[in-house]
Amino acid sequence: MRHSFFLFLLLANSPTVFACATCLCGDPTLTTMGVEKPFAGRTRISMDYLTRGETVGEARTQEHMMDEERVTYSISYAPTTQWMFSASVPMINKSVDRYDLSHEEGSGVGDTDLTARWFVSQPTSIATSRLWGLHLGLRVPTSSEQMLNDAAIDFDAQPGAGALIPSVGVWLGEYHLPWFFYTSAIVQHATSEGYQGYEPGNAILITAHSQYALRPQLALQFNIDARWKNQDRYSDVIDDDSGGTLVMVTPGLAWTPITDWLVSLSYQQPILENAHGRQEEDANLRMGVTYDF
Amino acid sequence: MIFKRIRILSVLLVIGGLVTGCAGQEDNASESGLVVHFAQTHFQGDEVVGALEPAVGGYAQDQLERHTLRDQNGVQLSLYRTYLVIDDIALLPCTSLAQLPARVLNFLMPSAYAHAGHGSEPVGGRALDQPNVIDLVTQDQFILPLGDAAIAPGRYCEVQVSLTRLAGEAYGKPEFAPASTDDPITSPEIPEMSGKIFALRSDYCAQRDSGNTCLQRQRVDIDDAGLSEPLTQTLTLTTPLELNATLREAYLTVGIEYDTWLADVDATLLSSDLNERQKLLNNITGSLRVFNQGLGDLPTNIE
Repeated sequence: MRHSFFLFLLLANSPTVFACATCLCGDPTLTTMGVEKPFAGRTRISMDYLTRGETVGEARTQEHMMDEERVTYSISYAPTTQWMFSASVPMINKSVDRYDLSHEEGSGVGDTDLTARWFVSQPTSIATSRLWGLHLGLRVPTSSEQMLNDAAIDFDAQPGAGALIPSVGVWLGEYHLPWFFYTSAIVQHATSEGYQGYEPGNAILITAHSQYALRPQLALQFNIDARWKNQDRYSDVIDDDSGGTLVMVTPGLAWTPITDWLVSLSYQQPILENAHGRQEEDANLRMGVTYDF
Repeated sequence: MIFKRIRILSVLLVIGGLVTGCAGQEDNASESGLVVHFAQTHFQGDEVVGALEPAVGGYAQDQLERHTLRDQNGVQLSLYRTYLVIDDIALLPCTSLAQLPARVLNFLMPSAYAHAGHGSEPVGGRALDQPNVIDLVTQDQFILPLGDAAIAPGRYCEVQVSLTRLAGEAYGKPEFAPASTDDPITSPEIPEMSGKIFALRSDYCAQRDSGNTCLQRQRVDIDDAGLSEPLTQTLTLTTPLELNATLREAYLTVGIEYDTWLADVDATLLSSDLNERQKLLNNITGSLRVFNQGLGDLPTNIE
């Protein structure tokens, strides 16, 4: 039973939401930090592959289609049962195809996410069924502005935004084997401009995650991820095709083929896009491998 | 233990690289898109060759560069300052039966076509993201680049040209300068173009002696104040312009055939009669033509 419970906790760590550069739909920390009950000295590394796409702008006059592939390398460490810290570095390929058949590609290191999770409530026993705490995050502009022939490539093809974005939030986990529920709300506010005058709008990210363990090694997952965001600006000019509300559902599964290893797969489908201008998020696919030390 | 961790980390890195084709390598690329080079020129269809008729009361005709028009009664109006504001230039896709439902839908719920206001690139100090003020008292048939515009692939049959009342910034906007105080005036006023579609500083011979020598010229300094706005002209291209992944560049020059401006106008009434000025504005809009078009870059001006 105890072994099963730990496997369940490991499954609960599986990546289920997205943290893409533009949509930022969902809690970006689930992948790296998991949501299980903490123990001191816990370390994990993970690698996630994400592919996503988005079509923005009025057809025939402004339309551009963006495709993105990213591999995010993450490490997290819990020095005590109260704190967990993580760092995630994405390696990104992005391309933009516009209505006029122009094309741009950019690739490189993206912006790094540094996160601290504070477990305000502490598990008093293995039977503890509810934990909650706070999230503190900082997106650091570790990317560099990509150039081609001495000119910066378009912002939409840049692997990073180049802005410093602190975040703060609250989370709650409910543990009722074989069920697990997790929800969080995170607010992001950029404190500096990004490349090419980019000023990201404030964002609120809401995640509701549920998981059912079919077997100790295999779990089904279902998420609802929502993002509400103010419109972005470029050099004080509002981007008409930015901001608004995006809600996505994410069915997925998590599998533990070998002890300490977790393989995950999820598919994210937009179900509500109440956006300014024209923004059409494609369905996204994500795969990940995690190892717990 | 440490070796085991390094092995695991290495495996993850290798898997990541294989999955993404080494995502994140700084391997940037770009390909330019389809572009139309827009330009403007002006010309006379049937050249008016009038005798020089300098006289007091107007502008110093013999000293000033000018264009001369003839009205419906044969009165010759000499233009010394003439400015016109072009706003937008939009290429319109050809209509086929297959596209008819989309065109009907667009009529009911208008959407933008490929026009020059988006993705415009400056050429020669001008671009199409702002209105362009055109000075017509310059060399006829000089091709003035207005800027490059990105455009979607397709077959284009018409071009829509809009004039506008100038509000805000514009390319080629002249700086206001008052007229000289001599008679005849040797330096005509450069009008303030804000809030205007067009402005003329012109004159005609208003009084002659028995030998038909001009004794007195009358100034006609007018603009579009109080006029309604037939401001958009849709012109059919000589042949459709087709742009696609293979044919990526085209040019189009909008011409202003200005000697048609007074076709049904009494030039002697322009200063006093709103209806005559309205006819003039209608004729200005109607004088827009497709001067030349083709694939490739703009033709160069002949020195």
